[in-house]
Amino acid sequence: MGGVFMKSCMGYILEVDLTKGEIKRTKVPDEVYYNVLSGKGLGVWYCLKNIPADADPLGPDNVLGILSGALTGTGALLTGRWMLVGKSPLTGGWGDANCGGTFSPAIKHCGVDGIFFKGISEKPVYLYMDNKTCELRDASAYWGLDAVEAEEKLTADNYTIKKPVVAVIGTAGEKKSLMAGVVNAGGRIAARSGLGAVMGSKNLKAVVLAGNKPIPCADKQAMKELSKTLGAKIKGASVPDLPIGRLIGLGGYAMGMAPFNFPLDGSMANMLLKTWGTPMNTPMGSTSGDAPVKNWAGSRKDIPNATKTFNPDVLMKKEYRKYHCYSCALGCGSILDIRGNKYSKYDYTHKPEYETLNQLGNLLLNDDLDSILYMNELLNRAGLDSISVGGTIAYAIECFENGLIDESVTDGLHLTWGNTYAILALCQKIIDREGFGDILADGTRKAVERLGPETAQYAINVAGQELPAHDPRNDTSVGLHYMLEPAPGKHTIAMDLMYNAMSLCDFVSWAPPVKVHHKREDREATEQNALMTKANTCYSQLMDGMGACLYLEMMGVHTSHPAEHINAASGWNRDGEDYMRIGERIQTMRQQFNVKHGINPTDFKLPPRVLGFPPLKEGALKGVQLPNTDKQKSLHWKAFGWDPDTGVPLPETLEKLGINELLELEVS
Amino acid sequence: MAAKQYPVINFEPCLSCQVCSDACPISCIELTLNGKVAGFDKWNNFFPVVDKAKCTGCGRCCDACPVEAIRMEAAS
Repeated sequence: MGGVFMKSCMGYILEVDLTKGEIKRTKVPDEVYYNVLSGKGLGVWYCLKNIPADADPLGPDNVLGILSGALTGTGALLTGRWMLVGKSPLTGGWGDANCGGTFSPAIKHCGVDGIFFKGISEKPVYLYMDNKTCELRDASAYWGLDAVEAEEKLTADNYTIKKPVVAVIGTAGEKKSLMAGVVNAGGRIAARSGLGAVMGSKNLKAVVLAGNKPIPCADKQAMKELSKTLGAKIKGASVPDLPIGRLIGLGGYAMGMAPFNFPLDGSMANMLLKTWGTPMNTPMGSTSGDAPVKNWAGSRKDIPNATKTFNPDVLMKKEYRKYHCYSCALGCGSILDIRGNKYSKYDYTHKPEYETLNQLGNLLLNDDLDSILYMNELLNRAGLDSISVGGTIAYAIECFENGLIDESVTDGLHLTWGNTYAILALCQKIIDREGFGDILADGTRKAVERLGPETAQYAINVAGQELPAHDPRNDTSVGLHYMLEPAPGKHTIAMDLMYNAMSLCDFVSWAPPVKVHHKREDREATEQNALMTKANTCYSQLMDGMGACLYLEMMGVHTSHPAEHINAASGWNRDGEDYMRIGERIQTMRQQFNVKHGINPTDFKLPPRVLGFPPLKEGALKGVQLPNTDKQKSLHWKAFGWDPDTGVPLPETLEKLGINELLELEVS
Repeated sequence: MAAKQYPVINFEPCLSCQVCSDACPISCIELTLNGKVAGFDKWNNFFPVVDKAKCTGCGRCCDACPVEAIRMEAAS
């Protein structure tokens, strides 16, 4: 190992034992950063070493890590994401989630790269940290407040020199809903893997950071030159000043009819994201086949108003201002003015993401935009994952529609497709864990245990994690990653479209070239295709180590080359091959975590419906079936040097990647 | 004694990225409605505004700005 210090990291972590009330600031060996960077890499290194195999995810032995990225604060653009890591109560295996906002640099301003909590506090507490002080404080005045109220109050109560930055759980995390996440910046959530429930189980309401230490960068001027070039490219990207939001649905039709995914320059997405953010995909997805409809069993024909309702220009008209996460030049977020909304008691909400719009819209056949905006704000405040909540409500509706549950179970709610009032009422019940909401508040897998195995056919999840709104029948890669990921059901690893945009063949020699991909047909299981999923996976892990945003990934290596950025930040001089090995190492350690915790990777399977069994009868995905996914899974594991039959990383692979040696290192 | 310097922001390259407001050790830079500059942006982006009464002139914002959109100038 190189043993080379990474100049853009603080070199320390904070270890907090909530049972004993002890806090330690410890030094992380330089070799850890050299081999796995910071962010998710540092997180998996720590959790793999420190969470015992039999740890209850909601018990004292589980560890919750909150981490910054290796490039956060160095002047690198779009590198402001913070990570949550730990053992997931949803899957019982590896859990992670990440989020934008302003929390990531705040961690480093306090002089650490991550904060790890273990144990359970006797009473509700929050961690306060600045340059000099680091202590657990009584949170009883904040317990019971929603995430936005709690953040405002904690900020005001702790504001002395620098305005504090807060990550907090909402009421759902306090109630240990397994769909809960952790919130910052007034409603942006690290939502997946149910890690908000872990924070709630520890009686930890919030982390409040007010440090103002400078964040180092090895070659600040070189980084500024890279950022100036990238910033000018992003700032210059623009769509024409035409009311073209309503044309996006037509674009989706065209994409839906095209049988191929063509090579595209990833930076083309910048102008769309700058203008509309991710909601631009809502009308496009429902016409192209990307967006699942009616709990994955319907098509655009089931929701004829979708392109009109979800025209992103409608949201644009409500825009009060753009929202940029820390260090972001794009600004895909917005704050919407929702005064006049027929349901909402709130005046503003973060613009719902595509996933939220689809999960609370198309998936439920709900075309009432006001109701979605209101639920978006309710879920943000409660700190709930809108992907999982939408999927769980869809499951409940389908159970009701098929007579598996009735109004005696649903507390009198007439749960039919598109019944907005029933959907709103159920959403509130899930937030409050009240009556039928309590049955659903832990997601679809737990709901099947409570409502009976005959309901399992409508529970669309992989190993307990509800699936996001991208349909594998439209793009095979996305479905493969849903089940290949150690934290399953992730839509942010790759699609064929993204593989082409990233152009990873120009980053490492072994990544297959960009090509035209056939859509909507079963992918032939080949070693070349396995290398493609491997390259996407490694790249994604590398980005999570850097603290980078998915949209930086999507711009492709021609627009933003990670090796140039990491070298400028760290003082290293390493190439793409070397950096991709970091991604490979992080992914192997995540898989190793699952194996250690008794998770069988072969159990990660897509529900039959998502693979086209039975096939859809209408719409863009009519008749598509994907029977080959298990063979592709096996080849992917082989490409990683894991057992192709069991998915367990082989000893020689651990040796080759230096993982055993890495796990022997200790903090000091 | 040299005159105290304050950050002056050039909105042309500014990306509204919050790096300057985050870097300020005493939070005297905010991206607020008052910072919206006509003629530079059609996306409803907000721009940084410096509270000069509070600013100590430390230059951390200028140092942190990724696109060199901030320069330090003596108060006029």
